[in-house]
Amino acid sequence: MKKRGLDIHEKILLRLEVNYLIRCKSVCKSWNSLISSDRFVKSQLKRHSIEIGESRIIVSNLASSRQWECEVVSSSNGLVCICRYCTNFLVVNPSTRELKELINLPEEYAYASVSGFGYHSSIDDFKVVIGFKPLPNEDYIFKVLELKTNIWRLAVAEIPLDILDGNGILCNGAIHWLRGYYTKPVIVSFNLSKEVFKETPLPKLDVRWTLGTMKDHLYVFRPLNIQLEENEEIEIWSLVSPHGMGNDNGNCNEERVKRKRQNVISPNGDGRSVKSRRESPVYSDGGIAKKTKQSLLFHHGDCDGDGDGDGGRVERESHVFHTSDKGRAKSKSQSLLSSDSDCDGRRVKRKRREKERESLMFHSSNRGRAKSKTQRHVSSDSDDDGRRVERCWDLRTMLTI
Amino acid sequence: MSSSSSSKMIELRSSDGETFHVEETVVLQSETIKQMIDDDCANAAIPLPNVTSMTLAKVIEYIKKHAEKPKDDDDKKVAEEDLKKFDAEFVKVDQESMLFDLVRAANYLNIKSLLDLTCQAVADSIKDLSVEEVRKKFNIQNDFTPEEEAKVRKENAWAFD
Repeated sequence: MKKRGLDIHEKILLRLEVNYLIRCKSVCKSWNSLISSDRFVKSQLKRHSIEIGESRIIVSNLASSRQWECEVVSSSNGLVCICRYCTNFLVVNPSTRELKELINLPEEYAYASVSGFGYHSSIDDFKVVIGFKPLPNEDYIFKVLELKTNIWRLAVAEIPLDILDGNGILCNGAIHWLRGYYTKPVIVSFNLSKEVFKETPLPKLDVRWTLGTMKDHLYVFRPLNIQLEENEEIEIWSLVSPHGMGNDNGNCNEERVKRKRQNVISPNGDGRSVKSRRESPVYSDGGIAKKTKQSLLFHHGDCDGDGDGDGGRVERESHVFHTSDKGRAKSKSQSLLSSDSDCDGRRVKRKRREKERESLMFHSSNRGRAKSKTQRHVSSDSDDDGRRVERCWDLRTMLTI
Repeated sequence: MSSSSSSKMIELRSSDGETFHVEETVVLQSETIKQMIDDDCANAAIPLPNVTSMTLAKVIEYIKKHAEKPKDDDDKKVAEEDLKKFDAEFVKVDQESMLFDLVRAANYLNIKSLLDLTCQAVADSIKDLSVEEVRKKFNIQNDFTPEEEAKVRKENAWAFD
């Protein structure tokens, strides 16, 4: 085919969504190689990221008793990292239904209690980072894997990471965990390109807080474990700098918090007041709002995998609450971070007007705790939750094929 | 200087020899022609060997419409709506080949909004087509062997459901 002809075909094909593109691979050899090419995949992702501008949400839901079997670590640029039995990792693309099984860890009893996943543009690859203790009293060992090479490498942790756990939050090229909720809260960050750990101290928090992201910022939320009452307020702290928590000098500049609720994410529904979310661990795209609906390599597709767009219901729901209370929160610039902190912050109080609006999801950094919470609320789930569970089983079926 | 003469007319010649006179301000939407004007190559008729008179007439209709400037804010809103309607109608062409001709012309003349509009129209039109119909539409020869095609289809079987 003439080059110019293909050039125009490319311009047209770039406007198609993933499922149509997959079909178009069968048209001819040049289309097949074009659609499969790295360049095309990236252009398609970029184009659809800009145009759609909303993330899809993955709902992974197993019966509570089986939750430990299979867990979503994180998602980034449309790929979803899944951990089975805390030992075996998979990366899937729900849009193309491609699946890559990561090589098993050489260590026999490596039970990854710390994990994270994310894309980093400087290396143009995805990395999985995990931490495990070879023996209960030993220090954590951290390992990193790049998706392209699929080899686990040792990552050196020069700071004590003894009580770290859970799935990290991806934000600005680093994965973050919250550690020491009661004693000396610290955000531990792992820079995906430099592969170094860094600590950012927080002021002492009176209750266990959780981490979340909105756009490119990292936030600390005060989780509420009870059903919110009318007009009750939720505290959200933005620990903002242009580079999130992972900036090099460790100082977070004070910045006006934009009150938008998009993409605050939670894998566990942990700390959220809305019952329906408790049974529905929900993930978003690392909190970066500019994710595409679908991409050839990188994005979430029909979440429930049944191809009928039913998964879009979850997306729409989330969209509703993401946008329903934009600008409603009252912003106060009451700095409550103490002077021993490196971070300045702004306190944001929001009034709750109705339950639905509060289905904002938070990212939990603690796997075990969230689990027990989930179980506690199983009995009180509504019919709606029942349906959601069913749908999520579909997702799991797709993922474990 | 091209900017000093807003009413200056530019002459365009289609592949079949027909000439069109278009205001410079209108024709500047084409990056290709803009470049020619900037390079001082637009004193005589600009030959467009890749664009037929039929296609060129359509292109000119499009750029003329898109060059209209609203008078005030109220007018702006109305104009935007009007433009949307125009665009929607514009891509409803009788002959399918015309849409492809417009894509090629927009690509050659480098008129981004027209390229977006027409490419999207083609993309929308192929969504529900079978692979065979797509080949026919794009005039593409199937160069897979039956075995190769079966393999590609099998790999992506779910997308055909």
